Amino acid sequence: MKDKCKSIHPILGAWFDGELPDHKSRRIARHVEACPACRAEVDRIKALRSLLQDGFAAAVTAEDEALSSLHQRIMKRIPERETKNRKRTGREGPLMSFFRFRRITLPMAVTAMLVAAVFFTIYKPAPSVIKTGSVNDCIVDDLESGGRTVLLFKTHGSAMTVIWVVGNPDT
Amino acid sequence: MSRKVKLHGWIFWGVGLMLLWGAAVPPAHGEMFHIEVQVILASNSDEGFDPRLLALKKDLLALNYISFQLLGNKGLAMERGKTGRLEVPGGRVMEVTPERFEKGKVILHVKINEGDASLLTTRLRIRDHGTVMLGGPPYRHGFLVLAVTANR
Repeated sequence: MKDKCKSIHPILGAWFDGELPDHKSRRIARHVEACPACRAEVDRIKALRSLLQDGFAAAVTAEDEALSSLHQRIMKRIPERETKNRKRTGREGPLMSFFRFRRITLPMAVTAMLVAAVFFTIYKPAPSVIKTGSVNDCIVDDLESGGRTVLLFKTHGSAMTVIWVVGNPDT
Repeated sequence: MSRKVKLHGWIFWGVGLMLLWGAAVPPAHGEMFHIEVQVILASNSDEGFDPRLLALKKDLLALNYISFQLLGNKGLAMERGKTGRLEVPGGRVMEVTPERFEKGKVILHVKINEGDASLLTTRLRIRDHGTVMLGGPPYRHGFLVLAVTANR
């Protein structure tokens, strides 16, 4: 290989791609026309570029096809997922479905009102009369013992009223 | 909104209104009274104090007997004006009629019959959850005490 060829070889790729200044490019073109070794090198570069371009194009096509297929698969699965969700919600029963109801505020407010209404209907404060006196307060309105003696008294314990019938009518 | 959710909404409202109506409307029948009668044998035997009567111990000991045994216990749930009957040892029958509830007290008509004869007839106003003791009829080696508790 000539000295000139040695200096041109490393930049033949750049020349082939049109990346060199005009004056330099014209000089290399003249040399390549005259030099079989450099022409062979250019042919080799040309073949390599061609191979690379073909390979890249094939790869891009394959990638496009893969993306397209992925997109189709995703779009196909979306309706399936929605159907499954609907079926699952249906299996949760009416109570869960109810609580999934978006407008839950109104039912909750009504529930609170019902609970309050039931509470205030059932709850009756004890009359004040109960707060005074003994636990066993008792008034005897009337008493009839068929002529028997009756003792009526209250115990010391909790002031419990005792009605004690004594003996028989003839005693 | 789906049809199912709409249906659940209607069910919710229906149940809620039924609950409200049930709580607000008083029961069709009269007031209910719960009368509990404990039949106790008071004596001076060595049987001791029945532990089931501990709640009444202070009051029973005021009767000056040393032995108290629970012979029976009966609870009666009665409507106002209805009479409940209870057999008392010694061939006696006790009849209890809750007449009404007034000013925190249960007005109770009590009658104890011994055979055909009336042993005791009385009308009492017992404080709600209060107890009154009716005693005196002889039985075995002691005397019967009937502890009557009235609850509305």
